[in-house]
Amino acid sequence: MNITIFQSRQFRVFKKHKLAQFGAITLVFFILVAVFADLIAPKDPNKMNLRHSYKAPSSEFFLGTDRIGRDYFSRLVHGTRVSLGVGLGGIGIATIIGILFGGLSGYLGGRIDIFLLKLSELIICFPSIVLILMIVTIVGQSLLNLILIFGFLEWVGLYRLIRSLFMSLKEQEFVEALEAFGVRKFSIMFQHILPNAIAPITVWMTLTLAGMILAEAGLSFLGMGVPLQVPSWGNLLNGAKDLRVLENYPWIWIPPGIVITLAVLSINFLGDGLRDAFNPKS
Amino acid sequence: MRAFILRKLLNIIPTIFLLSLIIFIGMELTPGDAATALIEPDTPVEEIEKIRESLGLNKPAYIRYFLWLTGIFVGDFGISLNDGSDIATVISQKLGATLELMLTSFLFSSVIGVILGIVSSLNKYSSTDHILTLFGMIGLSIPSFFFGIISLKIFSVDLQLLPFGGRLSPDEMGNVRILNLIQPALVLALLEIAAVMRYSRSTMIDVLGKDYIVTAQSKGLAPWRINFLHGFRTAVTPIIVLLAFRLPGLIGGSIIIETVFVWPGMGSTFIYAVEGRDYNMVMMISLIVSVIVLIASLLVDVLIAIFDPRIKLQ
Repeated sequence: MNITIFQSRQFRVFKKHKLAQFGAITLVFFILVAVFADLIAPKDPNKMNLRHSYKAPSSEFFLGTDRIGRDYFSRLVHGTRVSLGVGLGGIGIATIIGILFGGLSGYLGGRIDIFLLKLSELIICFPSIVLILMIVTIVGQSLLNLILIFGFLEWVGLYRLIRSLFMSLKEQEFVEALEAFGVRKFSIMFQHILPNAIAPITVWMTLTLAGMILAEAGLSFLGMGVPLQVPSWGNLLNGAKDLRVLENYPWIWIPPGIVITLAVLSINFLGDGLRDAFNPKS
Repeated sequence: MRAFILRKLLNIIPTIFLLSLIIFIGMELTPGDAATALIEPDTPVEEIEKIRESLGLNKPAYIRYFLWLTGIFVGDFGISLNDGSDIATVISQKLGATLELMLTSFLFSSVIGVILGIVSSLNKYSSTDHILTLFGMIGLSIPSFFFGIISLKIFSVDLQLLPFGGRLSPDEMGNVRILNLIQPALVLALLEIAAVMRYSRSTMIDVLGKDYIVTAQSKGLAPWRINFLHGFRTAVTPIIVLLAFRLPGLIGGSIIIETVFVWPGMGSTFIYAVEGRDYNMVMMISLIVSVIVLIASLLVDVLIAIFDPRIKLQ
């Protein structure tokens, strides 16, 4: 199995895509930071010390401290865990819903198709941030709520993709054969048709993960995402809304901004590379 | 054509009703109503009941939904839960500021994005193309507010060339007002340029690979004729469609940018309402935004039909 992956045409295309490799390596790096955050962070990210308010970077505080004297480097490291966690959690839920709804809609058609299509149309009537903020005001602000909201709103793109794929694939002969054999519909959909959609699903997951990390950052920057005491990339930038910070304390807003941009950029590179690798025309 | 537009209009009416129903349910699920917004904190319970009765808040939900919906059609959007101000008035005051910001950045990003996209596609795989593509990717990846903060730091804090934020009233001198507008509009536009450029580039490359372009080349036509009269004319339809599809993104982006630059538009009003748990205001702005997006998508359909004769109007 492994040997065939390394010999495949997709892998060869991917190997030529330097930016995609850069993206993959950076993403793995961030995931390792997130997993081993406890080991990497030199200090407790939540320990306050008002005597150390806005200390500049030094050997003791690698990236300085924030307004209430918390070690900024430790918060950035733990923020990696929170921000990637929100993104991956949201992607997980959105992928399951997108595949399930898309499969039902595309393969079964009929009333369920009309209902799900209408639902997806309703969701895309709203700019995503408006709908997210509207729901946050109703259900309240918490880490779990944010993951659930991302998961339950961002499936629409994948749903459309899977729906149209299933609609065309169900006309294929292998599906007719399976139906003639009396294989259960559920099994046809998710054991036989679905594997043909792995490539577009992977590309969608990668590019949407980038979008979710950006959305978390934006919402937390506004103070509406992850609760403010939890370290996340967006929450770290929240401090930059203060004019004093912008004038005097560059370590408060430059490092998290660069980290977010780098993370999103590498995920986008990876997604682009995967799309080229899976695209037979490239 | 008229029948086509009419049919599209009829299509979106049920969606608008559904949206309004969702918004109404959202307001029902959240605490507070017009009575709690109007009373003083220590009003006796009987007094509150009287106010509720006089405002019709004790009627069954479906009657209140009907009254609320008919109210919207005559411009009664209800009142803010925080200060009792009329939501329709607040929105009409803020809408101009948001439109000013969005239109400016829309024009900037459309023109520059399309031009850069064409430049990129005509010099495919050159170093210009690679650099533009890389910048486009960075533009898509950098959080808009981070970009805004960098811009503020450079132009307002360090160089002190531009004001720190806010908006001057329309009575002020034109050239002074521009200074306030230019920074948020350009920040919003620069991020959009990335998306427009990428899309224009791939559309142009797609078109320029078509057989009739090869035919035109083999006939020895001048390259600019081929690129612009034959190529760009075909590419323009999908590009126009994209320009119109960007509206939801533009609204979403302006919410964050307005907050960064303290621009007194719908976006910052929305954020203040969310922060202050002003549920009525949040829901009404959401409803208005969603209806605007819906109407914009209708316009897209009409535009496609005008520009693309292959689309049948039945």
